[in-house]
Amino acid sequence: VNPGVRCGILAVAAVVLGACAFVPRPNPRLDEARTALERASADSRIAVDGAAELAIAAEGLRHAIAAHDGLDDPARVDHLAYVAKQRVAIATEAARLRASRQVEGLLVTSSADPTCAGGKCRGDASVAGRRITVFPGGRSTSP
Amino acid sequence: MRIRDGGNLLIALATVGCAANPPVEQLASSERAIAAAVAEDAEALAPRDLHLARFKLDLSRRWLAAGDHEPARWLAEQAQIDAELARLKAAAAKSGKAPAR
Repeated sequence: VNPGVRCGILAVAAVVLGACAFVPRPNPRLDEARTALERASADSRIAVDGAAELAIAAEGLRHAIAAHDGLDDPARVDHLAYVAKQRVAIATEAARLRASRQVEGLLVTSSADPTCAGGKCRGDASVAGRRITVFPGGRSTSP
Repeated sequence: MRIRDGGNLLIALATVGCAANPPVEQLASSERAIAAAVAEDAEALAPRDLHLARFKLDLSRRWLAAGDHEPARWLAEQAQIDAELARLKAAAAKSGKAPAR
């Protein structure tokens, strides 16, 4: 083969291989965390009652993505992605905890409220949530 | 040969130097998080997450003993967050049950 052509092929190969080394490989843990955050954010109950925790989770995911894009140690990216994913789970649980405490608060007040027939209020958690936010006292049971 | 050994030693020192401070405080907060989860009955209500937290804390201590501080820190951080999740799960489980009774 013509030495010039061979040199050209080698140069192209070097560029292609070199480019591969500087592109972050897909990271399944990062994808998991991203999916979990998207799913939780789409759930209005978590987005409202777990807003603070969800914001921390989003911040954690940004850290993980930055580390990934910066070609950081994959083990560190895995770690940051795991932490972000667990923070999404924490947001979910925090939202559930707040919602159930609000329902609890409503049940206590409902016995004194003649317009609220026990079984109906108990079943309608979203109504319960909205009712309680009207009273500042209902919030005080949240951590 | 001598120079190469010196170079290796330098690299080793630099690597150790980067992860110099042991994650002692992080380990302490992980322990507190586990204790808080136990106090919230996570032993019965969120056993898997609590077990994970304890397992990682144990691993973290082993990395620390081996002098590798970075994985020790990561594992301790994960142990803390697993314990926090266990505590919240237990609290939510209790809170969800209470009005039904």
